[in-house]
Amino acid sequence: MFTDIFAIPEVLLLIADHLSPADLASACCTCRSWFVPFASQLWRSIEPDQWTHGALTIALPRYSAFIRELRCSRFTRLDALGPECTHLTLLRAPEVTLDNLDILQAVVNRNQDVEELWLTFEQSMPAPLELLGALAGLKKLRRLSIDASWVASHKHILHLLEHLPGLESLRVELSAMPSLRDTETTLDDRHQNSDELPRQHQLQYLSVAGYLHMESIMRDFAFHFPRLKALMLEGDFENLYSEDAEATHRLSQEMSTRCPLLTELGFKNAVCLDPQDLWTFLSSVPGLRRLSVCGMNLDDAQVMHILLVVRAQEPRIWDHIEHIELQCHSLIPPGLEAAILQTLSAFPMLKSLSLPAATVDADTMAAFIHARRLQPDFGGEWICKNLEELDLRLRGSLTGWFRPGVMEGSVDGEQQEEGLKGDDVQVPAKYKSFDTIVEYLRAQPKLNFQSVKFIQ
Amino acid sequence: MPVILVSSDAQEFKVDKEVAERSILIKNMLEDVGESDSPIPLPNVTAAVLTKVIEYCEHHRNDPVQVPDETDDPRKRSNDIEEWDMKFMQVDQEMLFEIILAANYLDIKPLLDVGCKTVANIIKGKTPEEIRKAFNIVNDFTPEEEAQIKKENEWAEDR
Repeated sequence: MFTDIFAIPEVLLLIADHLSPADLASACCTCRSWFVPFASQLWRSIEPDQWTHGALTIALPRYSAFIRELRCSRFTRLDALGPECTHLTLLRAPEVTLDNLDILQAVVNRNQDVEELWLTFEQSMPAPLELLGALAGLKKLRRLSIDASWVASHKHILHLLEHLPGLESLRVELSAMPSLRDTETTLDDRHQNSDELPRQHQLQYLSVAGYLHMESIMRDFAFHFPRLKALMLEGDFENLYSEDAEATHRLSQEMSTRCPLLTELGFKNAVCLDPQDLWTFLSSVPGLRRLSVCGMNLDDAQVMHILLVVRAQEPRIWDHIEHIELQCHSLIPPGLEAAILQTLSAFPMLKSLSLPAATVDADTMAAFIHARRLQPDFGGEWICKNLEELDLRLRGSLTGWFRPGVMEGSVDGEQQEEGLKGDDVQVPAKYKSFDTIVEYLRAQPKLNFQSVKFIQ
Repeated sequence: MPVILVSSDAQEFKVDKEVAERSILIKNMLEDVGESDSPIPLPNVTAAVLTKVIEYCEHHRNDPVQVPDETDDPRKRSNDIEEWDMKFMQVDQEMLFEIILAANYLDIKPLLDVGCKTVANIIKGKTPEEIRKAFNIVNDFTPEEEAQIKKENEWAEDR
């Protein structure tokens, strides 16, 4: 008995799994029974760059039923999408304007199984209430990203969340975040109102961009999500802490108990973040594992300084921090070198410290290492057992200050090691800083040397 | 305890339980039947094919059970076949198809995967006409239909 394997659709789909788009295109015009399995795999996921190909748009109506993931470019026109497109699980919509709002609304209405949705709204577009209503009906939605300049009130967002209890990831970008002071209530009054949302909301990842009111974020968003793991904040913060330090402190304490799973924090693109605000916010996340602070008015050294001061005051805080990424404006912030060394020794679990924007002065760094080594109590505290990545750019003052090639592939570089140690007398003065730093780096057992860059 | 498998042409094969249970079908049967030494008939598999399938299961008897990864992007999935499997799959097309059918029937996912990868490797880089020739497929499209499908999917040609 010989049965044709190509008569079994599952087998054809498994074969299709292993083919490139070009091969799928050939396979689907081989014969009728091959068309659906191979074409459906080919059209399963549409990427933005494919839209520029006219043939795709022309063929779209006939193949709409196969599409599961549809990623559009900003100007993609969805007109050609057939009504058969009803199985989307992912939709990255083109920029939403008044012109295409109806089409998008129809696409959303037809695709109730969408799990991931990205929406960007045209500047100055009014809040599309009907669309927001449609979004609230997408019960399978797990990830939602909204970029909008319409003034959404927290109500819109909270309303959505109320209807989407399965949402795991939410990103909202709002050009104007309404201040909650519109409602002239006291902090305690507002707490009582916080029961409006389901308590056990599944949200794990929250990213908010726009004009941020730190207190609103902490209370209205973070407080409702006991499972929150990551919180990303982008944009300027309304300064709040000068007003009622006591209440702020309470808020911070409460946040650390209400969001026990929160381990990832990111701050991005703010020009007027008050160091005190950052301090308070960071303190409310004692279990922090990953911190990124990018494009702030504070420089990298100031951020590390805050970390170190808080750590000195509360020795157990951030015991588990593994990744720190800082990328702020100032090129050579004062005190950077000492702050780096202290940060490395202050956090024993640290796996990576990344400062891609800063330039570290190698001579100052070497001087600190040297001075520290001379102290009588110098022990193993500069060994960072877990450090794997140290993304730094080191610059020396002397021409040819670093030995080229020494750090490349030198994990076992015994030859060079000998050269460094053996000829103490002949070591040119220009290599002094470099050798000190290399010796320090070599003492870190897991460090990938390639991550450290030496520049002239 | 060994298990006795009987092929469609009535040949008996004695294999370790552990080896036989690489087949989810047999594993479920054994669980349903409980402790029993009665032979298991496999009416869809000939002795020649069963010999090959058992050879595969013997070689992979200690492999960890595959956990399906939902996030796995099929387009990034590698087509690498490990060396032993590659050699194992160097059979004529009829046997390759028989192995795939048996793997499908016996529910041996890794073997089915290797079989499908082998078929995919034959398809790779071929034109529709070359694919038809490789598998003896009759083109039942009209020339117009074929031209239209080709045109509609030409955006994928250099991907």
